[in-house]
Amino acid sequence: MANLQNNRRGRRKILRTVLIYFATIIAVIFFIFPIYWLIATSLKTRAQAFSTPPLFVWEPTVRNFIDIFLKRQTEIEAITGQELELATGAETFFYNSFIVTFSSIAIATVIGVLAAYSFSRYQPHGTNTLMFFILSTRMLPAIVVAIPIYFFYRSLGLYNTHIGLVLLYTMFNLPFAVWMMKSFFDEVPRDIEQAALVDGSNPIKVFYKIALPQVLVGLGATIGFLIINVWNEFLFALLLTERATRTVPVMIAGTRGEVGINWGLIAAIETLYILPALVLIFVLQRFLLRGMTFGTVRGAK
Amino acid sequence: MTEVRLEKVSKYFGETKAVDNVDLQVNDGEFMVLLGPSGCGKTTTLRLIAGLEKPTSGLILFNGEVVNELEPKDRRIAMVFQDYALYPHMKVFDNLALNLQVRGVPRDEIRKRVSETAELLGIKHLLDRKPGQLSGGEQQRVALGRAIIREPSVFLMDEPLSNLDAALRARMRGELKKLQERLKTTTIYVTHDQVEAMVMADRIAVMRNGKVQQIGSPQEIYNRPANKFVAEFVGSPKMNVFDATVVSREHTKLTTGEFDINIPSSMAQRIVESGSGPEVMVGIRPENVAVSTAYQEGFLEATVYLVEDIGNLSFVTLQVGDILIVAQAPPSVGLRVGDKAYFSLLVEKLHIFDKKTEKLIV
Repeated sequence: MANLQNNRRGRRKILRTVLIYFATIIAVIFFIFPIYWLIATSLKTRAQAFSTPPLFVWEPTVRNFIDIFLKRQTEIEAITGQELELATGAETFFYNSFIVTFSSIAIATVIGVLAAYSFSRYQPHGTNTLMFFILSTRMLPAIVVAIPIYFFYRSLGLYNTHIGLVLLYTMFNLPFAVWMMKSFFDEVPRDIEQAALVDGSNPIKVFYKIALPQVLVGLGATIGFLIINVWNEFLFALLLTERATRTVPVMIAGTRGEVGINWGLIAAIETLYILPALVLIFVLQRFLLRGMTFGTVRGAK
Repeated sequence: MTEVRLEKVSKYFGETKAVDNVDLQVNDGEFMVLLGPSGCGKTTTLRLIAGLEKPTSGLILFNGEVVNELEPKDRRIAMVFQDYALYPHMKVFDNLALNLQVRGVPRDEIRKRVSETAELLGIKHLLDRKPGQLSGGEQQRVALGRAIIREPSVFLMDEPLSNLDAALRARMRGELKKLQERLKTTTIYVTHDQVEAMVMADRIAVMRNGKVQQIGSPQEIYNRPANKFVAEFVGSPKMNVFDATVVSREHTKLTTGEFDINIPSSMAQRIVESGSGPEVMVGIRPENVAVSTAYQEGFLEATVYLVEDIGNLSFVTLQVGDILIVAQAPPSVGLRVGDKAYFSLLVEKLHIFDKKTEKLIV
């Protein structure tokens, strides 16, 4: 009797496990498939990309990846008659994206971490008001300020410059950096820093020797989120750049082939573009997860 | 070689007076315990001495020099925190060495001193571990090591033993005291545990609501508590205190309403001199209440309300009308709840407090 029951229970357990795995696999396919399709398309010729039914088996080509960097082509713009260079020399755009992302995040992180630490530890007069003010800058949809910023940048000479984009992204990212880092600092017991103060360290040493090492996980998470924000930004990059400073998302949107849209080429650029993000997310996934679930369990290490 | 003096020091947090006009003198090499219930201002007082808080008013002096504006790092103090506040990302070695490192002590010297300190505290085998891998007692030792390695002029300790289990706490209590005697460093120690205070202190300052109630040696505090609060706070079980009225013309007879107490004329004299009026409070410690199963000359009758036997001693709570009196008895007394018992108060050990001011009269 008991044996039979055990058997039944065991079978039910196996069934449960199978179902869970099945559901997980479906979910993973659901999220992975677009990325797979993107990479697959990047390895197809134009004809293969458009074939019906879609091709699942084909002879892959790396032509698109070579074209991104090497092919020079021009097209006469229909309305303005301007000569445009298309879908080529992508290295410039990758370089732009990289420079802008790196610089703006470096600045936002440094300023953000220092500000967050001051707010958390020294609580200057009006901390709450200031923190709210900082947050409120994120409450408007970015597009609301797009036109003013465009004119503003035009007249200041920041239009079509790296520094212009860097400043803008820094501004957009700072609130996020300050808020996120402040909550990480808030979680670190103050006693430890006070112990260091009594122990003979000055406040600056306390900051970088005691406080900062304790929020490294939070710092990783913050930087991760900032990178995702900037790397994918499209709207302002479109508005405020021309060819010399254009970032990859804008370039992708502007890429066309000789006849119609060359999806293979676009997919190749996109594949290259998401690669750093994928690697980064993989490396930082522990931190990012921590950032997302942060504060849900008090005192969890 | 440091003496610490507080002169009329107050610290307000908004409307709250955390520390209220405190005068305190801690002599060189003395072990001073700040004792009081939570929220009495003892930790704030300690933090004021450490420089982690700035006083609202008053002066803090080290060796006669005002240090109000001196940063914590320049006060040559070492502090042990209640939760130890070890640096979680550093190994024990670096936890101990940080102060020496920031002061630019040469490496060999640092290694030597860390080694000596670790030896002294028996934590030499832990130097390569991080605080998270240590037990509570080990963390406590590291915290202590971090304090003593720098040879500070004053030790400040904020309930350093309260996170340890009872057995370890009792052991560390003794070790800490011995260590202090050996180093002869002025020590200010905060605790709410009156046993800790009694055992370790050279002198105790009892605090309540931000004010110092009494400063004195453990014996003074125990035998001549300045007021009802100190009397009840120090000693376990706490002192019996009940209301009484002076009735006789010679002032030698008090009545509680349930029973009378005859006091010597010298005591009566003091009550008269104090000008307290006939309403007083009488306090007596459990060990000064004799209890017996049989009637003896001068004993009063009571009912046993509660018996707490702790092995070597037994605490018997007696009920007389509305009054409960705890008496200390040998476990062999053999009383049970509901029994009739007889008790007598050791009159020369009575404490009499003014009912209005709660101050000790005699």
